[in-house]
Amino acid sequence: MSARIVYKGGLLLDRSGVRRGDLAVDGGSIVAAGGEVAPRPGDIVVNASGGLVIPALVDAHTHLRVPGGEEAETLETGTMAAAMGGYAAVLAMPNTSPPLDNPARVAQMLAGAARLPVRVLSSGTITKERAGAELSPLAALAKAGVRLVTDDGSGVQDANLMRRALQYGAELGLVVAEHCEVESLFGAGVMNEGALSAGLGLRGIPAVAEEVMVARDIELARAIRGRLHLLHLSTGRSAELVARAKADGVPVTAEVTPHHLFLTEELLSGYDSVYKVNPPLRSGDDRRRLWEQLSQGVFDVIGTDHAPHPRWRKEATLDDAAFGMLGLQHALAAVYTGALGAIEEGLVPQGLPDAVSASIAAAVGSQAEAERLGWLWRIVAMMSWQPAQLLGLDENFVGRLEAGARANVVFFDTSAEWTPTSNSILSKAGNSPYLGVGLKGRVVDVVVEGRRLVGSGELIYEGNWE
Amino acid sequence: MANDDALKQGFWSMGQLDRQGAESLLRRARHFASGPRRLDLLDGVEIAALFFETSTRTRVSFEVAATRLGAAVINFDSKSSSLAKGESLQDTVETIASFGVDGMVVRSSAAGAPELISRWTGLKVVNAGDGAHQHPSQALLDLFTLSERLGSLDALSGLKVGIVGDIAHSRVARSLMDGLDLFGAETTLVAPATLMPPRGFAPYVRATSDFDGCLGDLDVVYLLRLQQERIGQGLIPSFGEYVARYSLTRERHRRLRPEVVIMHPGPVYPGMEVDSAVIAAESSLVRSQTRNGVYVRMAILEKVFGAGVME
Repeated sequence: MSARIVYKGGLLLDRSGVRRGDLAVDGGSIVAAGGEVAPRPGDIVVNASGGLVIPALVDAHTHLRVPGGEEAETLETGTMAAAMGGYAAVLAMPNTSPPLDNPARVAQMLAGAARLPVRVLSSGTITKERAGAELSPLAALAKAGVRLVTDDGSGVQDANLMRRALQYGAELGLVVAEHCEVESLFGAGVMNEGALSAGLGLRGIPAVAEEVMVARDIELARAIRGRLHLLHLSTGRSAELVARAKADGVPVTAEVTPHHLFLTEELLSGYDSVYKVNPPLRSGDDRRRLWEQLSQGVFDVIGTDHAPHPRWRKEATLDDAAFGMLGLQHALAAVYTGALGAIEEGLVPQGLPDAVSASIAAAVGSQAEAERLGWLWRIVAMMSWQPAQLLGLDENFVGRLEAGARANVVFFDTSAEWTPTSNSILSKAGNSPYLGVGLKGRVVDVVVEGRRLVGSGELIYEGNWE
Repeated sequence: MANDDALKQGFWSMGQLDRQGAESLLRRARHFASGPRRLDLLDGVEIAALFFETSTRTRVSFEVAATRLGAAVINFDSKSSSLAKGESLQDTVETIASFGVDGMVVRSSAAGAPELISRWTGLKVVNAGDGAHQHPSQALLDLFTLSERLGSLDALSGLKVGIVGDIAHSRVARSLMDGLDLFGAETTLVAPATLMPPRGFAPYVRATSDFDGCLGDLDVVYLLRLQQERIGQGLIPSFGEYVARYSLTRERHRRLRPEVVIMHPGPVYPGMEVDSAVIAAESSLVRSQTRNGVYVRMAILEKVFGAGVME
């Protein structure tokens, strides 16, 4: 018999909307949600009055680096960082060494993660050895449980191969996820191309390197009705292309990352390679346009693109350093802090379901408070049940805070203001762009499949990873 | 005083200097140009010269400058070093720093390397050219050479300078634009769109692709070196076409006003950026540029590594 965990006095936010009330989990399930729950002796009681109780998060874009990159991250450290960020499940990206391009490699990686308290799902590559020449055994990968295939780290350069992947993958129910990058346009770039890169003397990555492939793939999906997912879109124009495609009924979904929503290229001015990431941090104008499209509901998923690297791969000139930054641990706070900025710029989330808007209006008094909750609902949707749906997870896994649903629950303290420090990083790597940055909102308590992984903002290691 | 602080960690970029700071360095360079060859202003100072890219004039002139000031120069040969065996730049510079040198002069193909090396080692670093970023000692020697020709730094005000060629990849252009701006000169960048940096990176300069159209307006024509690889990168179709549009040929030279001066950071590729006869003409300052490099670099080294300047 494990103790019940009772969240008292918060707002409950789930796919049906927002309501006041307590929530209790017992074992692997939610046993009560909404209304008042009277604690019993022995219950763990969490004071949730400062914030929101939400379904746990799902990351559809995590580089766990296993196999081959254990110097940067292990399944254990990666899932610890995920838990601290409020994640109940992560999708491991397949650009490992060797890449996850066949069922045996997928099974081996998953076997290593089976005992971990955060669920690890595997993607597979689109092409063998991620070399962009021949299709991976997609049917065998699908049979091994792979739901999403991607050559992430590289785009599929050959348009016809991408067309075939969409065709072949569609009948298997596979999501074909593209890393949108035309290599000939990308060149040897290290940061966003523009006035800033020119002044710094750094080789630029033009926005069109991404946008041309976004446009190409949208037209392929339009022609084939394949299931296309566009990863980590970073430019305003990319987002606008997706908006147009969706309006046309093209079967496409799109991802944006916390760092493209929160950080901009000016951070590269000191040549600090922690900010070197692919796609690169873009201009303030791009960031604003991403939020604009996000307010319109154009993006389906916020994925972290959590990309750990050992020190020596990052303590180098921008020409030599690796692309990528950590994300799991601070994603929700970064996005929430960014959303508060979007509110200041006058952006209001559009197109929320009527029932959700009505529930928000009933739960809070002021218009400003309703707008903030509207944003939170959209953000949590993009970080929890929408990625879960993309990855084919059971509806009960995350999304509904109701008796009978799985006990995957996060308390997000929206009143917290804090500054992450390097000694709080749980990843094996340390390349986080959020160190020393003031964030608003903090993941304080996390329960995954009934196990309390984070309490009072601290990881609960014993009994979970040990 | 503010200027002393500006170069406290080294000299990476012209952006660290205000007009006063640049003037004081150039004044000091003029003093060295007319002074005795042997000085002991940096007696006991050890400077490591790290040239990760090949260089003749910059490396040797820094070395001569340091020697004349009494400093010892430790040369680092990147081709026979552990860097060639895969050791990282950070390891290499930390190793050299651990020997207790007082500072470094660095030439690197990586933009930002001097600033990063200073951050990693805590040492003062002087930039001898970093990627397409900055080459501040070159800009100062160009300003020195121009003021020598024109009689004063004040004469730079309103001067119309055309910088012609591969602006996009040029650290010389970036530093020189900054330097000219400090003294009120008006810079026009001249290049085809493919060799021009993205719009808006320096709002205070003009840009054009039409060399012939602006020839008659210029007081100074500053030609940049063109690398062979620009053809393979698809930035220009051929050398022939480049020469036809952007080389300072004898024919174009004749159309310049008689008092116009020609400059080039070297090494000159005769017949490409500029006709060899034009480079040898009286209007060419190329030889003066090379000679003045030593004096300006003496001033820089003294400012960065010296105990204090006595003017």
